[in-house]
Amino acid sequence: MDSRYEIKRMAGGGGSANASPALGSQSRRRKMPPRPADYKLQIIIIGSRGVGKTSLMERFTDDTFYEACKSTVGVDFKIKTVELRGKKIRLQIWDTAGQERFNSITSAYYRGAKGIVLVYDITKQETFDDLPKWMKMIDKYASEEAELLLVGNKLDCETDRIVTKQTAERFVSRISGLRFCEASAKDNFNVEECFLKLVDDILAKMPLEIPSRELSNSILSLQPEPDVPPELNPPRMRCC
Amino acid sequence: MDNQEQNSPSEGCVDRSTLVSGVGKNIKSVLCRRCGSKVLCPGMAVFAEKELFLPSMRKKTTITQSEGSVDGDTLTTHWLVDDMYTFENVGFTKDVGRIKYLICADCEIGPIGWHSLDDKKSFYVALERVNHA
Repeated sequence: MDSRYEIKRMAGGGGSANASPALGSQSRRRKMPPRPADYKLQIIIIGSRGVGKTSLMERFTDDTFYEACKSTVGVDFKIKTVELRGKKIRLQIWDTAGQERFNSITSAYYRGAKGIVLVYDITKQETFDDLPKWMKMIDKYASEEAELLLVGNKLDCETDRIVTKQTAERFVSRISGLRFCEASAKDNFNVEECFLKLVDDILAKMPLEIPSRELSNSILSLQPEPDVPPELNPPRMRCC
Repeated sequence: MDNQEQNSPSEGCVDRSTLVSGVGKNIKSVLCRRCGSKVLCPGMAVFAEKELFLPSMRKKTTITQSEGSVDGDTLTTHWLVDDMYTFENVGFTKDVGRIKYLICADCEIGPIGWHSLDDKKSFYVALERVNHA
């Protein structure tokens, strides 16, 4: 995709600024010390069983030899760092894999979430039909402020597609504030872009030192927003 | 210098002066051994010595392991942070008793660290389970 978002993955081998000693350096180079995060955001990933929620946040590897910990104990949540608008953002991401019964995910999961990623599988109609029930849970438990992202996963299985993009877009258009994208966790297509767009929208609503006028000049906000602008705070539609 | 001595009783073989600053902080970034995901930026953790048992990162392929025993290592040298948001990228397992293990956020290999629910301000990452760069 395009390079709208400065996706600075904090992986090894990153920028030279992070490779230098922070303290006790003999070097005379002036390097910026790593700064702590500017923002902390909680994100939850929900959706029916088998849609690929966990895969969205995991880099695929073929080496299952090392997965003793994951397979026997299970992952609870993750801290991940992204950079957007020149800010360093820590995401605390909760993946509700294994708790796909709508009423088994406690309200506590929803309450603190600033961003909610709702996932369905484009090759399985029932996972799309389940969406209104998930929206009910969101309406009931999630903060009014939470930003929503609907992800149609498994774009790599286009030949097995059941849920058309138009169907999904029709569903989304009835719910204000619901962002939509299709992605493939397997091919790592559009996954980061979707997440970053969600995080970007969450940031846009948060108080900033920088006047918003300056931000509008950044390359990150050129995309015309199809949804109602956040400041109008539209009520979320009750699902049928 | 190879600091990945397997099952070595002397973790202190690691040359600490290359890893620990004068004030006890990590000089280098802490990275996942398998995928290179950045766990900690330089200067974000302090060196700590504490005996902690961390289960093995490898799944045993043989079936000789007896029921109930957990293969692993007692490790002494760690990076300690007091706030989970200090990490760049890290994963937490579900509870095992009062313990959560830390794993790589990207490839989920682990355990690379240890956290007790009884001490909310201590998160340990074992030096032997990570890379430094």
